[in-house]
Amino acid sequence: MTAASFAVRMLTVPEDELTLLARARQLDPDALGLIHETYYASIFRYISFRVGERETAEDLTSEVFARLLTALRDRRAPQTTLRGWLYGVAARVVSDHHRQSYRVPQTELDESLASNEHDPAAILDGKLTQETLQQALTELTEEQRHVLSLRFGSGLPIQDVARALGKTEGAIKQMQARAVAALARKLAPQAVE
Amino acid sequence: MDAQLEVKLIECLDALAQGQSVEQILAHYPQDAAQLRPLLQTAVGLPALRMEPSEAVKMRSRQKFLAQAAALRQPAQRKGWAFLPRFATGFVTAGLVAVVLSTGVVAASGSSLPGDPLYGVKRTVENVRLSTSGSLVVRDELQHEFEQRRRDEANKLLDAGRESEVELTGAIESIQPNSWIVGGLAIAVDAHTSIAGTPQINRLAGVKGVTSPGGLRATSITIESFGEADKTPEAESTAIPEAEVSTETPEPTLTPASTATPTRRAETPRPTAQPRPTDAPPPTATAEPVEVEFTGSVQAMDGASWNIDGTTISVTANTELVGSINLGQRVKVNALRQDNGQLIATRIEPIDGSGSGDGGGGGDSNPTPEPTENHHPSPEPTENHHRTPEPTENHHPTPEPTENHNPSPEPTESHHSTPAPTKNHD
Repeated sequence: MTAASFAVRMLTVPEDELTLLARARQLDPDALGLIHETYYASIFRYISFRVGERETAEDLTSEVFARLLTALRDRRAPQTTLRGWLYGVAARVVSDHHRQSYRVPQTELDESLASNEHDPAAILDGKLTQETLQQALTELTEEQRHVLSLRFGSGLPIQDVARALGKTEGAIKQMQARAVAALARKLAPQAVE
Repeated sequence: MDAQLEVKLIECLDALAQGQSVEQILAHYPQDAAQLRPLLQTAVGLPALRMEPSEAVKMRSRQKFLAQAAALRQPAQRKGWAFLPRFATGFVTAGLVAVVLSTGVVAASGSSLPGDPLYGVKRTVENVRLSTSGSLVVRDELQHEFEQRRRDEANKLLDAGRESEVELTGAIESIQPNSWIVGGLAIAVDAHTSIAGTPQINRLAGVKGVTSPGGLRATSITIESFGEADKTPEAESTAIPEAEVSTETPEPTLTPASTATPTRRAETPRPTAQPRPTDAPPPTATAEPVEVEFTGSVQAMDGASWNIDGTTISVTANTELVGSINLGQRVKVNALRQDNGQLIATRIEPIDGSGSGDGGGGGDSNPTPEPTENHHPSPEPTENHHRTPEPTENHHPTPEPTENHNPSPEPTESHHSTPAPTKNHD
C-alpha cells in the first residue's frame, strides 16, 4: 500500500470511529462535520449509482444525513458501525424513493431491457448503456443491488463492504460474483447461459 | 452458474479490481473465456453508473447538516443561566432546588395545570432539572418527559373544559384545512394562527394555543426544520401546500419530498360540514395507512363524517363505537390516515370523566344527535356546534350505502375554496 493510498484509506475509514460516534451523539459540530466530510461523497456515489439522476441523488444524500441527526436525537444512532449504518439508511432512502416513483409512473415503460435481451452484442462489446444497466439493476434482489452499489458505486474495497455489512470478505466476494452473474443474465440471457 | 465457474468469476473480479483489463484476465482462462466475458463486461460497465458529487452541493449539504445539528442542540443549551459561569450555575440551581424542595411546594405543584397558582413552580422545577442534568442523554429524556406532561396538561384542561394558555410539542399526525393533529391532540388552526416552518406530516411542531370548552385553538405553530425523516416520505405529500400557508421562515426541504409530485395536495381540502360523503370511504390510498390516535370533542356527527374539534374523520360500518357518544363529548379516536390524508376511524371511545355533551361541546350541549340525515350546505364549519340533533341514547351512525352522495373519494361539496387554514372554530 502506497503512502497516498494509505492516507486515503485513513480518511475513508476513521480508525477511531467509536470516538467519533461518541462525539456525534453529543452533537459535537466538529465530529458531525468530519462525518459529513468523510462519508458524503461515498454516499452520494452509492445513491447516484442506484437512482441515476443527479438532483435526486443530491436530495437523497442530504436525507441520509438528516436521518443521522434524527437518529442521534432519538438515541437510535449507530453504536459501533457508522459506515454500515449510513449505507443501510442510504439503501432505505433509495427504496423509499423508488417506491414513491413507481406509484406514479412518469414515463412510458422502458422497453430497452427487453430489447437488449435479444441483442447480446451490446454486452459482449462492452457497449452497455447506462439506462440498460440501471434498468437491469432494478430486477436484482435488494441485497444484490446493495452489494453492487457499494462495490461499483461507492467504490469500496471488498474488506470495507464486508465490514459495513458485517460479513466475511469471502461472503462478499461470492455475493458480488452472483450479483454480477445475475445482472448479466438479465441483460443477455443467451450470452451468459 | 456452476461452482467452478463461480470461483473463477470471483478470481476474475479480484483481478479486475486490481486494474487488469478484461483481455488480460481472460487470457488466464481460455477454456471459460466465452462464459466469463459477458460477466466481466457487465462488471466493467457498472462504475459508469455512479456520479461524482458537486463540491458546491456538498458544501451546501454540509452547511445545512450542521445548521440542523445546531438547531437540535438548541434546547439543551443553557438559556436563562447563560450570563453566569458554569460553576456558578451549579451553585445557584442547587440552592434553588434545596429551597424549593424544603418548602414542600414541589409536590403540591406536581399536579397543577396551566393557570393554577403553583404551575409556575412546576415549570421552574422542570427547568432546574433540565439545567442541572449532566448529560445530553439525561436532558433528552427529561425533555421528552416534560413534553409529554405538556400534552397531558392540555388534555386535562380540555377534559375539564377550562380556558387557559398552553404550550406543547408533538409530531404532526394529520393536517386538514381547519385542524391539525399534533401529539395526539386535535388542534384548531385558523387564519389567525401564525405558522412558522413547513407543515409536513411527522415533523415536530411546537404549538402555543388556548384551551376552551370548544377545544384547543392554536395561536402559533413552529415547525421543526426537519422531522421524523425515517418515516416513509410519501405520507408527507398530504401536507397542505406550503405556499398557501403563512410560512414565516420556510425551511429547506430535507426530505425527498422535493422530488415527490405534489399533485395529491389538491385532495386534502375537506369541509368540516358536509353531506355524508360515502358509506365506506373508498380505499384509494396506495400506501399503507398509518394509525393515528388523538383526542378531541365531538363537534358534529353528520352520518359518516364526524368532526372532532375541527378534524374530519370518516365513520364507517367497521368503526367500533364504544358506549354512548354524544355531541360535545371528549373522545379518543383511533383512525387510519390514508395516503390522501383522509382519516378513517377504527374506534371512537368516550374519555372517562368528560361530560356527555355537558359543557364540553363548544356551545352546544344537546346530547346524542341524529347522526344520519344532517345535510348542512352552510359553508361555515362553526355551525356544527349549533345543531339540534335528536336526543337518543345510542347512535351508531352506520352509513347507508344508498346514501352515497359522493362516489368520488373527494368530497365535492367542499365549502373551502382554499386549503389554507382559514376557519375559526371559536
